[in-house]
Amino acid sequence: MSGLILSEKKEGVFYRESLEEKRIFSAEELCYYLKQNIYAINEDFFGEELCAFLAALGYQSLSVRLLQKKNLGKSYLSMAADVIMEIDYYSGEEKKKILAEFDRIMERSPAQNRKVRADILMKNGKEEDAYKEYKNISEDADLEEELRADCLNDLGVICGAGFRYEEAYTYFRQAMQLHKKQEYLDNMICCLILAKDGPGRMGTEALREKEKELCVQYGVSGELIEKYGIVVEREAKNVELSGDTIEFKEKISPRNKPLEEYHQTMEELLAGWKEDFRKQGLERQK
Amino acid sequence: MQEQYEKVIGIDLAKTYSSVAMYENGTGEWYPMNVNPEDGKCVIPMVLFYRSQTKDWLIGDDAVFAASLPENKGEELIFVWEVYHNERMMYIEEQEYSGEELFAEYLSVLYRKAKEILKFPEEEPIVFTAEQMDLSLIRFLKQAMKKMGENQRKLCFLSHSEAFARYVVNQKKELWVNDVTLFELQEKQMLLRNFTGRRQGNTWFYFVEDQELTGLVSYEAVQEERLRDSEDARFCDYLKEDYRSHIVSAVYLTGAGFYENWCKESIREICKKRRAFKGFNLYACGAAAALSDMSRKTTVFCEGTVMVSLGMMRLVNGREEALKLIAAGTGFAQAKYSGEFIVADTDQLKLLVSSPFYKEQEMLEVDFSGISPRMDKTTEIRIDIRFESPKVFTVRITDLGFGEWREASGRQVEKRISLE
Repeated sequence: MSGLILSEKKEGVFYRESLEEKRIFSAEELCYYLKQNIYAINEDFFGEELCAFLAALGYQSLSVRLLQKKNLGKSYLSMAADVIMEIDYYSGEEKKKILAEFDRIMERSPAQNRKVRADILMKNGKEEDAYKEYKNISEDADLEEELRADCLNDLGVICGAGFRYEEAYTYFRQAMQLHKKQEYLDNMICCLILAKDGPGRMGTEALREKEKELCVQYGVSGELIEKYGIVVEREAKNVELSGDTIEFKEKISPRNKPLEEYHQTMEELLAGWKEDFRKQGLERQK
Repeated sequence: MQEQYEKVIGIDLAKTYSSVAMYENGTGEWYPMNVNPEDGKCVIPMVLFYRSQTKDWLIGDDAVFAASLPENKGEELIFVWEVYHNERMMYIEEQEYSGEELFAEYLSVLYRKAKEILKFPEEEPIVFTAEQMDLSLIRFLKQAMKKMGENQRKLCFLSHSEAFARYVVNQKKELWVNDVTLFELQEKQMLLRNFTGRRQGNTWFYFVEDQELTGLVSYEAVQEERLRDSEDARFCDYLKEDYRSHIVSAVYLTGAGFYENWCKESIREICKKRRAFKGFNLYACGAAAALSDMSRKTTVFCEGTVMVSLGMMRLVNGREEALKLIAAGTGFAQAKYSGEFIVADTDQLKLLVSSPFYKEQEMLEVDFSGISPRMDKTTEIRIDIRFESPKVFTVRITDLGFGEWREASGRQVEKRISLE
């Protein structure tokens, strides 16, 4: 059914979620958030603060019910289902589909759901949190090998994105050893191509050794690596021409802008990077 | 008008004089502002005067008196409405003033006096009333109040017809069990306002109809002792004729034309089975009572009020339901709505126009495809409805994005709708 759904907000009332650090202002936004992030949350999400937010919006009985369920140790999925059902945002058909998805989550192993949560963290740009989650899952002794291999591959992707090619290659190789998959092999090849130049590059000896390993163990010839190189180069050019890159270049260019504005932009940018680096350092120390 | 206020201030800006009154919601009492306790008329002539010796503005009788002094000879007494309406520019002390600026000066002195005398609290609302309350006057009054530092205070605006209706419904019921009439005699006009009730099902609706009576009684004639009896006789004949078929509970006499006690015979006629009242601050009192509980419960249709109810279709648990936005009988200046909605696979706003007197309702569709709604219910819009006159309103639809997940595009769709 199409139409308009009244959204009632209250001035100054919001709930700040911790995953994306965004503010939720209405019950409808909360439903949307739950559907999008059901893999990424757990029982902790349904705390007193969220219940107070719902009560402030006029959902007192829902708020009380959630607190009761929380105290009884009920699953977060059951609490999320209560919210989805009570709030008039999704249609009856949509609600059915969402609840069916919640059931599927119930059926999956906790490790599988943790993997999905880590994937969402990564998609949302929270690499550090995703790294920690993949690492924890991959170290789980009872984990099935295929899932462990996937987590190791994802750890490799995160390291590669941070120019830590040596570490990335190791993760891809571990993944490949556990479970043979073309994606892992592709990542190993690409990692070596990217590690030839620029930040995080490997020494000639290390590269040669790894190329030999690829050739002997997986039958990857030098010619094939070159072909991959062409694709990687083309992709790199595409990235260079993308709107985001052009926008960023424009932002850091001193051309056609007052010197004061340029300095201010650069200072803000560098301060942001420094802060990110500091946080990453602290995480690693932990 | 949902909020509950302890006290409300009514300010009448009539053509020849202004008056101020305060209404106390709890007791139902009015407190008129009496600048000169000796005359007891509670009205302040709408004139302004600049006293160059002390470099200040005077209003009302103070202005008239100052202008008559020999030392101020040559200085002009300013008729506020005249300079405002004619957008006249004036030079005072080598400074240029527009009609609006002069009106603002008058308002500023009036407001200062009212605050001093009535001692009304900072947070209570003010209801302005004037013969005709149009959009430009409302804008001017809002700006003038803002300049006085009153931008936080709630302001409402009523026509004289509505102020009269609000005054009547806040009287004892026995005074408006039948029709109530008001005669207003001004220098250039005589008006009759008739307040009448009509029952529709279990609900009573009230109407104020204005009738032009200019020529029935001459303002100039009643100022002269020798001509008063003939004017009284003519007025009395009119009343006698009217009362043959018109059942009236109470009669109010107002306006500068009734200052003098010239209509003794007519008042005797009125007082046969009716109650008569003479007063000059009725509109200010009515404006002040506009936010009372009784006013909220009573639907009145008159000059300046919206004659239809406005609603819209919205989704409730997957079904379309009507949502009331603006009730019929709301003063057009107060007739507004703002609400936020999630767009679920549509680009049409369905407005419902209905009348309490007819079963049929009209549906008006407002297309907002111009703001390109997003899929998956991730478009939130704000719907703003404002009446610019009793029969014309504007709907504005603004894309708000969706929380902190989707940024607002800044796109807007606006449609002006006439109910003529």
